[in-house]
Amino acid sequence: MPTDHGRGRRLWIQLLRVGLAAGRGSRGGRLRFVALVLASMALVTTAHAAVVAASAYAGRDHRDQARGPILAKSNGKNAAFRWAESTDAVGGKQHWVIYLEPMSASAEPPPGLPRWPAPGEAFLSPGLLKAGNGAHIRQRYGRVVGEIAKDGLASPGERLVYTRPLTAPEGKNAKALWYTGSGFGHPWGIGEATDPSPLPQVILAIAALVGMPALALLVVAARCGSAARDRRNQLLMALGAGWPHRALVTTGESAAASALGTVLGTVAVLPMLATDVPLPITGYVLSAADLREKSALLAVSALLSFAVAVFLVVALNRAGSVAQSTSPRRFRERVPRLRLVLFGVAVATVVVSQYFGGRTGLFLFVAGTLGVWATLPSVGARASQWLGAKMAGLGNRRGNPGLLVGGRWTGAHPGVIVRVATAMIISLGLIGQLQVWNSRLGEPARDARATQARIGDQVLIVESRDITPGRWRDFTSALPPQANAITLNMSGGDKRSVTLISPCATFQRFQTPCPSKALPVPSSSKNPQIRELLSWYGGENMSVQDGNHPAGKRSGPETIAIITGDHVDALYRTGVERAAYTTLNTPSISRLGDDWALGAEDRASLGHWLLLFGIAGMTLLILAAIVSAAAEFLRFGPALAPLTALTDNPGIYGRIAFWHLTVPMAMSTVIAAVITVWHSLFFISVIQEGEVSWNAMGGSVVGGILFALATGVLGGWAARRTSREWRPTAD
Amino acid sequence: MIHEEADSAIVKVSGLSYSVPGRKILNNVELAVRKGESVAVTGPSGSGKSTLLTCLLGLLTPDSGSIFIEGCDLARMPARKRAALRRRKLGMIFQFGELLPELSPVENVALAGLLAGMSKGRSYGRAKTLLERLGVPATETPTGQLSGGERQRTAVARALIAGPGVLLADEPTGALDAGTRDDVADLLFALPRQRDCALIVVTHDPAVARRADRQLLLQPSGLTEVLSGAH
Repeated sequence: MPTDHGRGRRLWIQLLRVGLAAGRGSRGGRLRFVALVLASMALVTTAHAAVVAASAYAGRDHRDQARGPILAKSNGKNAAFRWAESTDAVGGKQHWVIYLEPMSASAEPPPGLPRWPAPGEAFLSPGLLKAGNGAHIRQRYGRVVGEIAKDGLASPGERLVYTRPLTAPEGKNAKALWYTGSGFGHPWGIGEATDPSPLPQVILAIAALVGMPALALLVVAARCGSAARDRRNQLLMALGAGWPHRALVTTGESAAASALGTVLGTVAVLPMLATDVPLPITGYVLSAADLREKSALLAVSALLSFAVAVFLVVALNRAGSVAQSTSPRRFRERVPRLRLVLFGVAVATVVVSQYFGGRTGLFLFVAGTLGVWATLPSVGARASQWLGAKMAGLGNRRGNPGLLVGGRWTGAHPGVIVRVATAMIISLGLIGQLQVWNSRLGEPARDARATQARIGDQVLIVESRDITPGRWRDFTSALPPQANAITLNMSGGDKRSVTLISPCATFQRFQTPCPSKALPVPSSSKNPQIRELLSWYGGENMSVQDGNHPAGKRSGPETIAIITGDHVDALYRTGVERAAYTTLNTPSISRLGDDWALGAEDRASLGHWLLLFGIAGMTLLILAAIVSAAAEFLRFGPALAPLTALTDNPGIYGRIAFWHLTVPMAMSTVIAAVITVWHSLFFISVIQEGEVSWNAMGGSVVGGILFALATGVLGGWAARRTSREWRPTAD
Repeated sequence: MIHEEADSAIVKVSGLSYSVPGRKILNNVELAVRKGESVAVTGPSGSGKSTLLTCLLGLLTPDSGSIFIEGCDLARMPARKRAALRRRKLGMIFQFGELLPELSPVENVALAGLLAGMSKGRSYGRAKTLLERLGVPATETPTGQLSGGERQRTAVARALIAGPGVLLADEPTGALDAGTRDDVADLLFALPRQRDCALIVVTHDPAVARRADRQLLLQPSGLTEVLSGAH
């Protein structure tokens, strides 16, 4: 005879089985299953993304510490090597160049190098070799003798150079320029490790941009086909079932789908444990070894994510959501006034944020934006009720059945429009914000890009120290034949006036009078390259001096402009770089305006991360909208089917769907676009940068309207199909 | 008796059979109903009462036999013509009304008129008149919030708006309490004489069936007259 305990255990299993069977047999069960699988996948992917970020940061910090130089004692007794740093760029992206000079035969090379480079040799990272293939990167820094191994790189895709100058460091600047190290193993901050975004910020971005939409999808999936579930819960309540029993049935109904989604989401991550994977949009390469270190955390995040998914589904189908009346469920007639007031407050906060500026303005803008998004569904519901009443009124006046039924439905069931419209508004908002974020260049960066677009590599700036006559001679003779070297001498270092020093023949080649006294910059030269150079270095006045580079008398960096009037390709720049790296002391080579252009590029790369997360989030929101719309078809079809007894015109279903689904959704899209543009303009006024892309906005609106049309067509088709199969039934 | 009445019948069913895989639901059903006459079809659950009504409505095509509505053979018509005939000549009242709960009673009734091709003015005018006569408040209250009896009277008004020759009712009082059931049944069985139409009611309820001019029992062998002596 079974014990009470045994019966309790059987009931537990039985209730789970009831739930499983209910999920299989219910109308729309398949849709809900797929939606729950997708939502659980999204949730677990978000959790795994946070683990992946944590593993990448941990691995990067570990390797950054391992490769950072430990400074030698000031008396130099334990000195093992010398170390200097500069930067270079490929394809508009900056990378670090580390100069090494061993001082002892027994000194260990930095991690990732099999040995110290010999004079004139360089080790390049695989990421840089790949990116710089078209820019002849192999010829830039000397003879490339190998690749930097993964244990010497922050991430597998990091761009980095270790090189050793042909001659040992010398000159009075040498000491200031070169550190003396005794070994490696001190956090230093090299290359990617100087990334300014701390890990919590990245995880916050993942949570906000991907996690929230994943939760939204889960909510929609959990409530998909809720009418049948609410009815079943009511029946269970009537039979005396408590909430744990109902929770078990709901768990049984959703656990299989959630488990499948969690497994699929986890399986999708598994290849990242085996091989380094480059992320789309950002191009960042994730290290498989780093992730393997955190594989236990991946398992924990999968279990947690599954538990959260099941818990939320149960919570969203709790007792309170069970209808207490046998009358048809109706949306609450009145949206709480407080929510409308809060919406007004949120809009006002966004409006006033522009008058504050700085951090306060940004804080107010973000708080107002979140408030607008949070209260938007309530306002949307009120607007939907209003729109529905107007449409039905017009339908009555015109005797238009489609408009009448569509209007009444829109007024009585604003939920579907609100869900879809909210997804659209948030998607458009994200697109708008990301686009504006990426467009914020600032005036100098815009000028820099314009200069670079006009002259490209025709003017290159080389900075170095301790340029002796011998080095100057070696450098100029190693330059490509069409290159001309002009030394820039800024008075007082404030760039307010500049002297260009080179033989007069060079200046004559560039239509610039030589020699000359100080001239105002605008009238100093007719040559486009010289004019561009002066626009960045000339200040107000310039003068031209006949002669060669003044022999290394300066302390601090010296600036040389390498000018050519010819059209040049990547090989030319590589030629200039090679000449500099092989003859000068720790040179740095850049284009005019690179300080601003590369800074903007760095900011853009942050934008790429936001874009990656934003696109993932938008995809989830759109999925939520599609699931929501599909669930609506499940209600739409059967509710309209009895019309089949009243009409021989199947077009009525399409017309009702047009007025109930397409028109409100299309209107939501247009309103969403107006809100987004308004919102973006406020954002621009707060940060004082950026611009609205009308093309991006227009494309989004067209996409939204096409989605609305497709939803209407599918809704009409579903109702028509259901009506064909409909038969009156009496219980 | 059926054969004697067949010539003047507005609804004439002969040799009607319908089956689903593994089961014969209707077997050689014969039925004739005249204008102004009411007929109640009773029978045990699963005997095929609702299936018979669905065949009469033209939503199911029988395996064999014919269904003539005002001389047109419904069983031989293509789907589109069947739907047109249904719209013009048949009115249907379902057990649960099958109204759109979001629409007001006037809108629900007028919608049927509009879909049947009536003008806007006529649809709304007739809807208001019918509802007034049937005692349904012609307010803007959504139909979903009306009582069961009011909903069913609205369904009757909807069935009547296009002036059909044949009214079909599937358990029209099945979801109502005894008092409301009597009200709706009184209203329903008065219609054939008031509007010169035929009424076929499918019901379980003997009290409702007794109000009909004729009671028929649906059995596996076919439809047979119940001689209760009520009329």
